[in-house]
Order: sequence, then structure tokens, then C-alpha cells
Amino acid sequence: MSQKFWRTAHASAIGQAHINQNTECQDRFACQTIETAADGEVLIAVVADGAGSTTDGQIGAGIACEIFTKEVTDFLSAKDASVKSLTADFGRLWISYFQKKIAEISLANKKELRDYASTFVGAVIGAHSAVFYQVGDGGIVFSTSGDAKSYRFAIAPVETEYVNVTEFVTDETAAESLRFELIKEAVEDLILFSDGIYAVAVDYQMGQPHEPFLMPMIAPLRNGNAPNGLNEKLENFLSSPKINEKTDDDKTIILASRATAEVESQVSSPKSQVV
Amino acid sequence: MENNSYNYDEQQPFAAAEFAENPEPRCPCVLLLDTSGSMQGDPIEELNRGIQGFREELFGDSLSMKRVEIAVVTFGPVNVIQNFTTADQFRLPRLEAVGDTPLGAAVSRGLGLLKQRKQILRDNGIKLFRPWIFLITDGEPTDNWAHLPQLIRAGEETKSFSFFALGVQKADFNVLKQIAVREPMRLSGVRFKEFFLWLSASLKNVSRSNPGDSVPIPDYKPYGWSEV
Repeated sequence: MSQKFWRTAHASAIGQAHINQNTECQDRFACQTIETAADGEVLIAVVADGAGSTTDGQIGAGIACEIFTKEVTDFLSAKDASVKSLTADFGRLWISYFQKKIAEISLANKKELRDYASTFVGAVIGAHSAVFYQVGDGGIVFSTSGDAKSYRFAIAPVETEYVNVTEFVTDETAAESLRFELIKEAVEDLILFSDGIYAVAVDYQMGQPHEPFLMPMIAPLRNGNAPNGLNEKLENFLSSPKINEKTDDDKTIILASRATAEVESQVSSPKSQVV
Repeated sequence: MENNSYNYDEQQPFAAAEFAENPEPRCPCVLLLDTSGSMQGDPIEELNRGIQGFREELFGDSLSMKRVEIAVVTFGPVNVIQNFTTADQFRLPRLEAVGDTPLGAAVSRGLGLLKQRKQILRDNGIKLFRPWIFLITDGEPTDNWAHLPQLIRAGEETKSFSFFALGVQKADFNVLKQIAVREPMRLSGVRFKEFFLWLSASLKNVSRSNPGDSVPIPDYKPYGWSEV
């Protein structure tokens, strides 16, 4: 028999600039699947990039991931709640919960909201629909087929005057700058990434996802032949000189695929790996 | 055929090739260097050492080498001795102190170069960092500079550039304070390496200061120089 289920791989790697400054990696992510009545297995994937100039951006990023995952899980656990009933308003409500939490923490630590500044990209993928949320930079790319030229941005990147200017979920205006998309299609492949690998994951000239980089990355998940320790291998790759010559920022990537898998044959005869 | 739309025609025909070879986002950086008579002796030596240090620290950072492009304007008299170029092409003749100090004219010239360069970068689809202008002087202008504080404040507020005034030893810091929004710094105390670090994630929260906000000074603590 065949069935669909999500395979995922994810990693964060500290950027050279943070190593030089003796600071920690400020990217955070969350990636999990939950069982729902309406949509079956639902994938929740989130990447948050704590602002590099803050002392506590990584705390803000971690809390953003945590609260988003929890709120979506709670929402979908309600009877009749489905992925496509997640709205932009849900996103704005989530931002208010997040900011309330950060306000408490900043008050307790005698800091300001902006000391916890972080960007945010989040995806919730059901069987036949998906929703995407984004504040600031980073990227969400998906495909409904896994074919070449089928990978596209869930939310188009915003042109800013300078590359290093962005918006944060801690901003007063975050609810207004929240970008939201609902698609009523079956997402097969999903890739989330932080700004740090934008230079390799995106074709600047075309303004499109850079498939020669992204497709080989997701291939082991697509063909069901992911080697053991894929997360560790991904982390090593993100830390490699090849990537570091393009970026000195923290970098995070989440890869997920639910290509149809022959469940029984998977164990006995693994397919050859396309790289 | 002559192209009159830019002053520096010779660079234009090859712009596209330059950007294909290095598509990294660029941080245009203008050095406004005081080479007037009052800089004679130790000050001009200090300036030469400072620029040498800038160059060395830039060479120590391979990614910034591809991103920072430098133009050099000396004054007096105002002279563009280097139009925008990335670090590998950045050579600096030994500066000597002669003439008067047309600071107002030098800043205007630097801003003109910057505006032109930003347009070229945009036309070629190259992304930008917020540009930097470094003024290095002893703070004794001889021309009319009354308009400068307003000009520089406007540029800071619209985020057109970040303007840093660096004084050599014995510089008149009162003058520098009037010109720049940010607190002036001593050239000898500046570690340019930390400016280059801004080009990574650290620079991100430039977006958090709104027009009208004061622009805090780089204080060289790890997180103090964030608002550029």
C-alpha cells in the first residue's frame, strides 16, 4: 500500500559574524506534525531569526516558534477546525499573544520589546490546503509536484531599500506588516529558510527560488532514501566553507516532503538517491 | 560615443560585467579626507595610517571585501582621487597636506558621487546596504559649511546614509559635533573591523529607528553600535 506522510530535515548553523563576535546563533526553528480530525497529518514549520544586533533576539525567536506552534496546535485540535480556516486574523491574534509574552519578559528583565526582535516565517500544511505567515525577511518555498520549475515562494519577498533592513514581530506595526497566504492545493514539498542563506537559496536576478540549490537538498526526502543523521549532515553543510563564502549570518533551513511512499518496499529495496 | 549621464564614463561600459562577476549586495562607502594645510605634520601622518588600517581590516574580511566599495574624496582642493571600487582595486596614494579646507564643497561632492553610485547599483539589480560616509578632518573648515548639519541630519533621517565624523589628534570636536548627528570619534580609537561586522546580521535593526529618533552613537561595545 502507499500512503503520504511527512519526512523532514532541519538544521541551524551559526554565522561567521557571530563566531567573530563571540555570540551565539540567534536563529530558532520548530518543525512538527500533528494529527487532526479535519486534515489528517498536519505539518507545522517555523523559522525565526533573532535580530543580530540585539542581545536577546534568540529568546524572542524561540518564543515566537513556541507560541505559534502551540496556538496552531490548539486551534486545530478543536472540532471542525481545519487548516484552511486559519486566517490572517489568526496571525494577528498570535502576534498579540507573542508581544504580550515578550512584554512580560522584557519588563522582568528591565529590557525593551525591541531587544527581543525577531523575524518570522511559518507554514501550516494540511492534506489539500496550506497557510503561510511571514513578518520580515526569510523565505517559504513550496511545490505541489516536486518537478523542476515548480518551486515558488508562498509569500513573495518584499523589496526594501537596503538588504539589511527588515521588520520584526516585536515591532508595534507587526500586525500590519504580517503577510499571509492561503492556498487550496496539496503541497508536496516545503522549504523554509532564514535570511542567512537567502544568497544561495534565491536567484536574486530572477527573484525566484534557486532550484539548483534547493532541489538537491530536498531530493533525499522526496525519494524516501534519506540517510541516517540527515539533520547533522545538513548542519555540516550549512557550516561548510562553500556556504560561508556567501554569507556570514546565521542560517537555518527546514526541508519537508510528503512524496508518495511505498511503505512496504521502503525497507527492503531503497531507491537510488538522486543528488 | 560620449555618455553624458555620468561623470565617470570609463566605468560604465563594464558595469554589467563587474556585477555579474560579483553580485553581492554593496555597501558604498565614501571617505572624505582632509588634506588641507592645517593637517601638516602629525595629523596627515595619522590620516595616512588610519586609511591604511581601514584597508588592512577590510582585507581581513573576505565577504566585506566583496561588499564594501570605496570612493575617496580629498579636500583641499576637492578632488575625487578614487571613484567607487571594491576593496581589491582600492589603492591609495600617499596623502599630503596642502591648500585650504573646503569642507562644504567636499561633502556635496561626496553626496553627489553616492547618489550616482546608488543609481548605478539599482539599475544593475544589485542590492544595497545603507551607505557610509566617513569624514576625517581636523575640523577647521575654510568654506561655508552652514548648510551641512541640516544636510547630514536629513540624510540620516531618511536613511540615505550613515555619516561618521572622525577627528585627528587636536581636532576641533566642537565643529565635528555641529556637523554630524552621531557623536564624533577619534580616528586613532576607531576599529574599522567593527564597522564591517555591521554588514552581517547585526545591521538589521536599522529599521527600528524611525525618522526623528536620535541615532545613538557607536560606542564599540559589542551591541552598542547597532543603529547604523
